[in-house]
Amino acid sequence: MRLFVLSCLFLLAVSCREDAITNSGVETPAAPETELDRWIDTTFRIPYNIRVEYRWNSDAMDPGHTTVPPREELVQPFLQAVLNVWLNPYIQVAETGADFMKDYTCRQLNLVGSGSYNQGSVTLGLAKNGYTITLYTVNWFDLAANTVKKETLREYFRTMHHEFGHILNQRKPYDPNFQRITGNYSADWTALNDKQARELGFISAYARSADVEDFVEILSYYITYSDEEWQQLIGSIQSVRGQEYIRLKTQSVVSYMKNTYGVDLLRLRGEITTAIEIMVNDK
Amino acid sequence: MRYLVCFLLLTSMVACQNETQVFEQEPVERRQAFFERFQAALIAPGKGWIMQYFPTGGESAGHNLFMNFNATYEVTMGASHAFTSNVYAEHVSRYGLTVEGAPVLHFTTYNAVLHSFSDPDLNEAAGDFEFIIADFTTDFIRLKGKRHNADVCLTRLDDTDGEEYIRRAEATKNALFALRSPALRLRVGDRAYTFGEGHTSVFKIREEGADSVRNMAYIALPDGFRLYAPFEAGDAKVQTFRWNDDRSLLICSDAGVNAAIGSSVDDATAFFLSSLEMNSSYSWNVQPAALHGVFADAYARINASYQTQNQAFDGFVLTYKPGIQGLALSFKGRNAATPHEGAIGINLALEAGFADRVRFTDRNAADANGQRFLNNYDGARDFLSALCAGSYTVTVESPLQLSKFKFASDLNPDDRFELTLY
Repeated sequence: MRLFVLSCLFLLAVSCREDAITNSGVETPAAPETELDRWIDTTFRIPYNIRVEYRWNSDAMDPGHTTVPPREELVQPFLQAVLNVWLNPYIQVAETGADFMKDYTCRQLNLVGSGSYNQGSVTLGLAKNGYTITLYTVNWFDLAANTVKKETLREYFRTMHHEFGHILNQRKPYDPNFQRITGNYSADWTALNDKQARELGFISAYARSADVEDFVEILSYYITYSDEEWQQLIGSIQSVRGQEYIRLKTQSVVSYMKNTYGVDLLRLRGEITTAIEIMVNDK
Repeated sequence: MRYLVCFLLLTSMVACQNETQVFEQEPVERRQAFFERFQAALIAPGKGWIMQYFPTGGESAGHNLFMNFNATYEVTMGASHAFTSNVYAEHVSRYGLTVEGAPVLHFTTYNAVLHSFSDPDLNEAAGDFEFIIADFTTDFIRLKGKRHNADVCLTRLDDTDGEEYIRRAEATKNALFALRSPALRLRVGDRAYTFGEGHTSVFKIREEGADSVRNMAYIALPDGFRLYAPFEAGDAKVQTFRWNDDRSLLICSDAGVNAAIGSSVDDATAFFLSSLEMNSSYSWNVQPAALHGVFADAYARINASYQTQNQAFDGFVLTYKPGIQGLALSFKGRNAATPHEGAIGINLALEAGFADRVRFTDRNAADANGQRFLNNYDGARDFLSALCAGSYTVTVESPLQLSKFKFASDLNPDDRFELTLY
């Protein structure tokens, strides 16, 4: 009887093999490759393993926010700026050169045309899981038409470096003592403006939202301002304690980048600010 | 143990029962076949498609968007709306087909013609640019907005270019629904409904004798209009209306429905006269391009006279002017960038014994600028004299278009002019 039962069980196991799982994945028609797709392939995917999504893909978007796709004609000039102001400076400065970006950059870069609006603020960029960076407001940057001002460019590239800073932090944590320099983080960060936040030792209002934001805000401000501009910014803070806090935080970020990633922030700042100047002076 | 054996035998029999093959193809193959058929319809020869697009469903204006798809997933879109500065413009972008529970047509790169309605940088972002494909044939596609659930349809253009279609639809809207045009009246059986506020692109519909008002957006067609959704009028459901041959009515073209829209005004000339009664805020433009006979001659001389004084004449308007306590033939002009205007008092009355004849008379009540105008500009006094000479027969192109009236002199029918409402 035991043998019979086993036979039955065996039959049960084999009799349904006809229904073996086949390819049931969602297959949708693929849009043919364009010149832009080929350029992205040779400029981002092959050298750095970055997949760039510029066509609308609702799976990659937050359904809670209304956004729109980018204008196709703005995508290549925008990505060229990403290359010049983000990837290339790190490659020039990192001890491991191009391998640095191959190892640490995001695997997917999503481009969105509009801003992503919240109550009283607009999100310009978003980093997720150390894997994806989403850059919003691409449609604001008609870089080929040379209509974008330096401050706007700087603010945007700061966002880019801010998001990349998150990816670096998500891969290798920074010194937990950083968050104790000022403490005093608050979800109600919009209550203060940048100037007020600086007096308390935060480089921006948003830096006050959490220590992870504070860390990457220091990083992104520091490397997108020339030495002169940076000294001017710090000098504009009236509170001596506020200045001191920001200096301590900056030292912490500089050490982290040097010791953890082999990136000299002073040199990186030189590369980035020069790249921004070139873009501005090309106009 | 016996029960266990029976159970296992039973289970194995059930498990191995042949499944009935409902479809000949695998789901993936069927999906691909669907997309191939759908794209074949999209790109089939013709002049493209018109998308009847209601960004917020039935709550705001519908827009005609021209779309021409190609096999390489490019789409040319054209429209004339606020986001194109109300000038017809075309832009090229990309579209895609995907599956998100249901097959979806989405527009994957930005096109100002469509995405502007959803762009949070521009407005409150109420529109859709991703659509579930609900149904399609070779000349009609029904879509459902993915985010806002709006019903959208595409109709194939075979004979008319997209731009021409949109131009004609706009002309229909302007003709039927000029600002201050009187409401239309729908009759279905023994029920009647007024369709008001057409110029806002959203009708206020009220059953005559009832108080409640229902809002319903519509989209203009080259030969009529279509409501966003069927409107329930008693037992009938009406949605699409098209001109009849003499353009006196809009006939419901929905299958099995006997309904028509006419004017809510029974007497066009009486409406015109009432629009110019004391304290009325109606104004009627004298159309320069529609002046004939003595009017054309006098108007040309006024223009020339302005030019010799290095000024520009901007035309006449017929309206009530409190400053001269009555109806006025008012005029506007410019000296470089400095505008001026004046008023010449006239009277207007129905000609005794006629329902469609009116007579203008000079009240000798011009304001100071009006006096200067009559004294200093060649042709001005002749224009006024011609207007006040004899009676005029009043006609309208259609009782549905009470925004344009034609006046022909009963003394000499070649002396004609037109007034348009604004």
